[in-house]
Amino acid sequence: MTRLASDVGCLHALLADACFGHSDAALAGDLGAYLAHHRVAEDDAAAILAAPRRLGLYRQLVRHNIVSVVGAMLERTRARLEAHAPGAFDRSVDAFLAEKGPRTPHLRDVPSEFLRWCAPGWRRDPLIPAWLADYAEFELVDFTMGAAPRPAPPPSLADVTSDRSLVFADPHVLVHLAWAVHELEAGDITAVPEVRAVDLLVYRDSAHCTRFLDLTPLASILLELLLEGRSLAEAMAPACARAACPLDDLVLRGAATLLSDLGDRGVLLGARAEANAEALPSGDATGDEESVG
Amino acid sequence: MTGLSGVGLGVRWDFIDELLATQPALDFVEVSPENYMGRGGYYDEALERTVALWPVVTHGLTMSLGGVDPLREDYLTELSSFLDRVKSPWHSDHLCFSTFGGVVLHDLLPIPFKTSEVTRIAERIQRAQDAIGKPLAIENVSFYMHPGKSEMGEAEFLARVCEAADCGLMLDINNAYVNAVNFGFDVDEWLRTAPLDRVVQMHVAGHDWFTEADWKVCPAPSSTPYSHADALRDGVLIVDTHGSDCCEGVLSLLERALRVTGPVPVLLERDQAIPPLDALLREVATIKALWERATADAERATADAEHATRYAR
Repeated sequence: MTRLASDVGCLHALLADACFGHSDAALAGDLGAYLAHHRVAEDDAAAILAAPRRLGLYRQLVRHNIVSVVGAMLERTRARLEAHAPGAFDRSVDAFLAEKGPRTPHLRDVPSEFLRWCAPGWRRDPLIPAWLADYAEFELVDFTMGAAPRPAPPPSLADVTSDRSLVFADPHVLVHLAWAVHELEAGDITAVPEVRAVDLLVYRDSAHCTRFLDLTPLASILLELLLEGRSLAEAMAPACARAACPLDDLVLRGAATLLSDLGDRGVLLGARAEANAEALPSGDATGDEESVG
Repeated sequence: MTGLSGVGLGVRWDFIDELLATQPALDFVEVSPENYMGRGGYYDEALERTVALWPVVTHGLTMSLGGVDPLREDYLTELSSFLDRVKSPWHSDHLCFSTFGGVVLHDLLPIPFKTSEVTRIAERIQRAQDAIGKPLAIENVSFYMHPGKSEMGEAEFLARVCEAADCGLMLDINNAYVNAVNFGFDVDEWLRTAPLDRVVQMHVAGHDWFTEADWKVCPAPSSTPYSHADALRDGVLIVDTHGSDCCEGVLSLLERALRVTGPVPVLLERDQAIPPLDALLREVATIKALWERATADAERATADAEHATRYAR
């Protein structure tokens, strides 16, 4: 039998495959052949074969941790998918574990990794409801927003004026969906959402609860530009152009109402005290995130 | 290495609200950084309040000290900041592996006790210790198989690794007990071989019995003593679930260990089937009474030994 350069690496690979790979049948069948396939040295194989069912126990224990957290954080998604395609959710988790696997050291982030990996496949799969990935994103953001990192202290603030960029409380995110999944009744798992573009502002309030604000298309575009750091004066015209609506008094009053509402919700903190050019985010240009080594 | 003493409780979200509301007298609490690092919101605020109320020590889950993947620098950097934030006097993690090929398994996988592994793992421990800027202690884990030929026993492997890395030992009493029953070795002999002079903290917890045929929970054996041979005959094994109260065998072993180590801090872990907080606190009180009895005996024995040495000169 050929030994690998690192026997320990070989053994770790074996355990990882036993836990996450498509190894159910192999573990229940000819374990010796499975170990040989993984090029496990004879003396190491003998030690493993002394307790032949224990690799299966590890498979069960390890998968339980992952399946539990994914199932808990995507509980409603799982229930809705089960109603339309029984077993599909569990098969997706199995495929994720076997083909990609969690990369994050934080168990709480595994469902996000899972969804990023499987959502494109769900969208292509004719057996899976076309809206399911949107629903899963909507369900998951409730948790991820609640757990998002604590915000940095805001910059110096000034009164809101049309020529200053605005400061918004972190964390927040604009979520764009193709289906009105947020309108589905929680208890009706067979319901199908309306096909409608939906723009949601998702934020965490002062009591640490995740809040959702359903935006009009124009409000969404305007807010997107404001979040980028543009002033109200800089954002209004392009927002109206993109939304194909005239920049009139009605729109201006609507923008004022939106900003007032965001202020009441604690999302809009004020305007940047310093000049606009200095206020724009500069992260892309610093190179601080470049990996080394 | 320590300012902590007595008996503490591992903080879990199941009871953190009640813990913060009732503020029971605990010698210290333990948190897992992975549950709080990079996280804001409700539990982050709860952590702040926890740190203000009790001394905090940290216990990690995913350092993968026995792994072959490179240690994650981003994780260690973030962990270092976290340890400063909660003022943990040391940090502990497990002597196991939990990553391979960039995949994080989110569990504690066993490693083979090979001579060639001692130096490799000790170097990883030293690198991790340097990166976090705090003393690091390694924990003996429960394991259910030897993942390869072992060239020495677990206790000797622990001793060699701790010596080579010059690190502390987080002695998990329940894990030693579980392994002794599942593999049929003498746990007191294990204690005599393990580096008890390096123990900075101990863990105690409960466990559950499972059938080997289908991995279902089964009742704990009623007959005592219950040997490894009995377990093999009955097709059962213990799994380290942290899902029940500490059994008599674990508490007895804790007492014997404390008589050797003296007053190192002991922490109660509970992760499954978590009872009401007052029940957990009663268990902490039981362990504290044991701790005081055993450490008083240990101090008396030390004093007697010093007395005898003085008069022997």
